[in-house]
Amino acid sequence: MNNQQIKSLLTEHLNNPAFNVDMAASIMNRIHTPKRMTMRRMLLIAALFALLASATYAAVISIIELKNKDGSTDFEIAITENSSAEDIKIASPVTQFEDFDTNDIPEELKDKPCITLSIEDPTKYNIHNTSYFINEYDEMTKILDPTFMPDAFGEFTFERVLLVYSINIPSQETLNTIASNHPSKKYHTFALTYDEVGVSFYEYMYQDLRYTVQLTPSIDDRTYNQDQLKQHEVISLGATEALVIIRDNLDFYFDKDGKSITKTYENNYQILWKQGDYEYSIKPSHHNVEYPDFKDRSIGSYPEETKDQLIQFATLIHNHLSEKN
Amino acid sequence: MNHKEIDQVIPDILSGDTNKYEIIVKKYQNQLLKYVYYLSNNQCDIEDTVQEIFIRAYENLNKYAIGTSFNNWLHRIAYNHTMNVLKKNNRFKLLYFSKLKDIPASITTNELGDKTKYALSHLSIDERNLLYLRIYEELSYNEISNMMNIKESTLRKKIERIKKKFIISYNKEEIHE
Repeated sequence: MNNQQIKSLLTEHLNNPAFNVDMAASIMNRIHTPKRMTMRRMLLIAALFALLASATYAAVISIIELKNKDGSTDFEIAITENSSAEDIKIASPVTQFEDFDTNDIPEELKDKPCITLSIEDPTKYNIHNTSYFINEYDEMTKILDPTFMPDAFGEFTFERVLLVYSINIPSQETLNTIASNHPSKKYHTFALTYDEVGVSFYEYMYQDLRYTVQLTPSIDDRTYNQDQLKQHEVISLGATEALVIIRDNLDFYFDKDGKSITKTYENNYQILWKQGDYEYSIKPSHHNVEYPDFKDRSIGSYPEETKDQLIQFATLIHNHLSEKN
Repeated sequence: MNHKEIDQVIPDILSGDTNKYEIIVKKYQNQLLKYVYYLSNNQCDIEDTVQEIFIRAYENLNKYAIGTSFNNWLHRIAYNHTMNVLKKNNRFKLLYFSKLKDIPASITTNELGDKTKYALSHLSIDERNLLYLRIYEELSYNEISNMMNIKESTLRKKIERIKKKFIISYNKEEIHE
């Protein structure tokens, strides 16, 4: 079946049902009705400024930055563990607020401070490579849902900043340790990103490799599906048992010229463990083509020392999480 | 009315001749109704959602760059707003947003209406959207990449996978209980 055939099917599908609605009148009527600032909106603005002016702030570590498409950082919020409101730097002025439905916020979060920001020109930014915190919390699955996209005008709400910290963000000290091990300061802050299927993961730089740390809710035991594991060994991360998975990995990536290359990785190590309500997995991140200053680990096999590094790094993350929780 | 004419109307609207926005509404309303219906698999109030899309587009018309594609810009707004509406409707009780596509194994193609609908039901909303933009709207990878903020290299392989998935589902035999 070629593209034209698929298009014919889609066309037929889209023509049924046949929409023939004229909503112009109702839309124009709404446009011509002046919008008033609601009381809720005024209260939200007032609450935000009160929060920023307050001397104390809950202990949170969050680094939120928006990168321009040329890679430079244009907008940053840095909230450190011991910072006060004065330490919160907002490079871009707050221009607009998003109304949100407080009924959507789980009970335990309703007393958490909220920050809602709007970016004036979101088209400037490469949003997918941006560190930002997702504004929805799924009560049942406890996943940070990165698919709640900022709308085309850059409105998003950072009200889950505290929650994110309490789960998995390392301290500034840890980040600094990580950064100091690498000569390039390009990734001295970690980035919360997501792949195209919307799973949240963190990319860290540790020593000379990029790592992906992924968390998934423990409700789904697929990570420990023994049938899927080719080979594994059990190690200890302190009091927690972890699996070192060795699996063949077939992956596609594109080189700098956009040419598709299929690579098979032998001895692709991955470490999995459960902690609290989450399962964590850490593996070397293989999309290194756009980061030429990194050693290229994306071709061929991962040598044994990668496994040792992986265990060291996993231990670091595990210990930090154990301290915090 | 073509794209150039739309670009000529927009400055007039921004200058205060707001009644001309009706031209844009009339041109795109049925297209957006179909698009939202297609994306959402009829899981939201279609007309309400499309109305809201037009309102948002109007309120942010100053952010549209003349000379680029208004159609793409509007579809981007439509996509984001539809996603947000669907998420709110489902109250975030899903592991992945894409699970809206889940169809019980006992459902047959007949019950879903036709093979195309059946095949589309096996795609996530993201996947349906990309299929629509690339195959139906015939947008280039570059255009889709800019619209959806997805790397072009990622997009190519993703769309190939989506097409394959669609074709396999379309050709699949009926599932029986």
